[in-house]
Amino acid sequence: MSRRSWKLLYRFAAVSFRDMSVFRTDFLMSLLHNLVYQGIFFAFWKSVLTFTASRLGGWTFPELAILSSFTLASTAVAQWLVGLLQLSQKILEGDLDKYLCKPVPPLLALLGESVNGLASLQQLTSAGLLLTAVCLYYRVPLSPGNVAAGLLILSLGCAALLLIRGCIALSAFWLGDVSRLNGLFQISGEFERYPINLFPVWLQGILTWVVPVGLISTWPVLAFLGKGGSPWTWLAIGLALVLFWSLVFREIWRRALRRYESFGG
Amino acid sequence: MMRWLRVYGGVLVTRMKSAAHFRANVIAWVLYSPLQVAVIYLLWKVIYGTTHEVGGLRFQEMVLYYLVVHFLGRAMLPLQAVNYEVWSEINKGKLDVYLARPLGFGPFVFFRSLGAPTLEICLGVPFFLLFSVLLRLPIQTDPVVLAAFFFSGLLGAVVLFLIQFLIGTMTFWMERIFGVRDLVVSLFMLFSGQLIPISALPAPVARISRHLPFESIFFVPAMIYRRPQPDLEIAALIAQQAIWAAVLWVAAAAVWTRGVARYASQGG
Repeated sequence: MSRRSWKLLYRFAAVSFRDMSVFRTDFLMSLLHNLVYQGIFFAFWKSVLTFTASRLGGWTFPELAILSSFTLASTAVAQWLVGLLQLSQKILEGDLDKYLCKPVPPLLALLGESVNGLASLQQLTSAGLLLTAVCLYYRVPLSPGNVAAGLLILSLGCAALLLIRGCIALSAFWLGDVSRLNGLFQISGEFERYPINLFPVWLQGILTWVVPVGLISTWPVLAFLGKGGSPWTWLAIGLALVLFWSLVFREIWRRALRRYESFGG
Repeated sequence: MMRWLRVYGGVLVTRMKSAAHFRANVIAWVLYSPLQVAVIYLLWKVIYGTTHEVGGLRFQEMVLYYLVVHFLGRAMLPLQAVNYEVWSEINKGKLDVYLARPLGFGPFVFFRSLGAPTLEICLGVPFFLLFSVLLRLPIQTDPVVLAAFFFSGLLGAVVLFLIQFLIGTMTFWMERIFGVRDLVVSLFMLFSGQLIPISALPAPVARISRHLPFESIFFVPAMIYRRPQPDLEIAALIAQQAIWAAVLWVAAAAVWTRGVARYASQGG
């Protein structure tokens, strides 16, 4: 990506920042929402663990709380590429013209315009605060290497998932409205809230290779905690998936643009 | 009355056709429920591996609870967009169009938002029965309990609509309502019984829930469905829902009346 493109992305992020922070009450409410939302999952796990002798298949409350915080962090990363998820709507409404006729890479302009910089920062701050509080309060032993590995797997998992969802959105060029198809994919994401290593092995495979939600929750958390074996396996899987889906996305985008037409466009 | 039905019924039918238009979406719709039910089933199977009862519910009862909540959730999901629709109409100055027409904005939005739920119910009932058979769950056959369940579900939808409508009408004062909406959605997830039955929550949280309208949306209808026969408890639960619906309706009407007085649009 050229320097000019980075500058453009930065400016869009700054605009989104101002756009959201100008409404102060809403800004504070959103911050509160992130904390309350995580608190609700903490309450869920607390309720469940009350009935299961404080452990669930080897997972304790602080570990499950860290899992919830990682889920929030993955949502924060997704805010930077939320434009991918809105792509199908723009295709259906013929709104791609304005990006195609600008002297910038259309995909970058489309993504940049939808960046939720402030929401991302709010969610990352909330996730960081909760993660720190849980680790300090429950004295969770951590090492810099494990923390780095956990965060790297999380980033790769987020990128892979967004690219897959981007590919689904691009299929709108052929299939029309695919919002429910994307919603279906989002439902698979419900697995991210729970430790997937509790589920049958075949399902763990699907949730790692096909719908890689394991790479944004269970596996990075286990790497973060220094549990579950070598993190290199998950890093390699994450990298392979990102490369594969990047190539698929590029190819679909190239073919899709040739198909695109809009009324008066 | 006939004219009223023709107008709002037309809005409802249009929305139903729009919801079923794209084939990929319909296929995704079919796959959506098995996936979500599978998540719930597998998770609770793991949890019940270490315990026999959670919040007074055994495994089969818990799965039945989530199945009912899942299908109610699917039917009511489109209602969650009402706040955005109201925000959008007010914020973009499109409210003029509705104010100039001989119809009420509230009922219009309500019937417009019922299109997709009606379709969800028509397609959802056979799926619900199929899942009940596959998972060997008891199917409610008592006509009075079933009628009470459907009525309770409808009241739940009304309560959810009114909450969403109230959030939407806050646009008259706040311009941006999404922070409040997200906060309410979070509380709704916990206190409606969508995430976990209220009876399984820690006692202080369950006590707070009794003073909020959210449990009328999912928890109450799900509890009614699993009653073995009609009893006073069902009547009490429905009365609780009806009171919340009435309180929220009065609040929504009052906020709307005050809000519209503040409304101004360019050229309007």
